[in-house]
Amino acid sequence: MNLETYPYFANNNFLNYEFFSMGQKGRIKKSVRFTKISLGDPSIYNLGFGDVVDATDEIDDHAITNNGDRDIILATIANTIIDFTDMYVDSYIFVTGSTPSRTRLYQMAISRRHEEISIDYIVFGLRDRLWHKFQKNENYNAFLVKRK
Amino acid sequence: MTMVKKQSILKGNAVLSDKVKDRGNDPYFIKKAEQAKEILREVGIPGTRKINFK
Repeated sequence: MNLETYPYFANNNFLNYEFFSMGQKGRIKKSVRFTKISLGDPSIYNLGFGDVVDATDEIDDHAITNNGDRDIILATIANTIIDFTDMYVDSYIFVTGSTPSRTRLYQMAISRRHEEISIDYIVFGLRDRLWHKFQKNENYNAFLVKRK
Repeated sequence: MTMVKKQSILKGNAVLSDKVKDRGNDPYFIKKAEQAKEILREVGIPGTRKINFK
C-alpha cells in the first residue's frame, strides 16, 4: 500500500530534511532534524520537526498550519526515518511531540501502520517511566524506534 | 518448511540537496534534544544500562 507523501530533500549527512506542505494556508516549509544525543554506543538521536518561519529561518514547532494535509506530513516524516536509518543503521530514534496532543497524533500514526512498520523496525512506547513494546490501544508519552 | 520473510514495503526517497540547511544549531532542535536527554537520563533505553550523553 502506498502512502501519499511530499517530495522531500536531505542534506548530505542525512540528518536534516525539508519539504513543503501545500494547502489552504499556502506553501509552508517543514524541517525534520535528527540530533545525536548520546556519545558512543548506544547511538541515540532525537527526531525534531517543525515549521520554518520565513522571516527568521528558525523553527516554530508550536505552529498549527492547518493545511489539511496532516497524514501526508506524517507519512513524509516517516519516510525521513527510513532514509535516516538507511545511513545510521544501528541508531535509536527518540520521538515525542511538543505537546501531548502531538504525541497522540504520532501514536495514532504508528498504530495505523504498525504491522508494516514492524517488518523492519522495532517500536517501543514509554509509559509509566518504562519502555514497552508498542501495542495498539495503549497510550504512551514517547517512542523509541530502531531498525531491526 | 520454507520460511518466507515478509518483504519490506517501506522505502525512503530523499533527494539530496545542498540547499537543505544543517539545523544543528537551531534553538528549537537544541531544546528538543535537551528534553530528550532529560527523559532518557531518567528512563534509559531497553536493554542498556548506561548511556553517555553529549
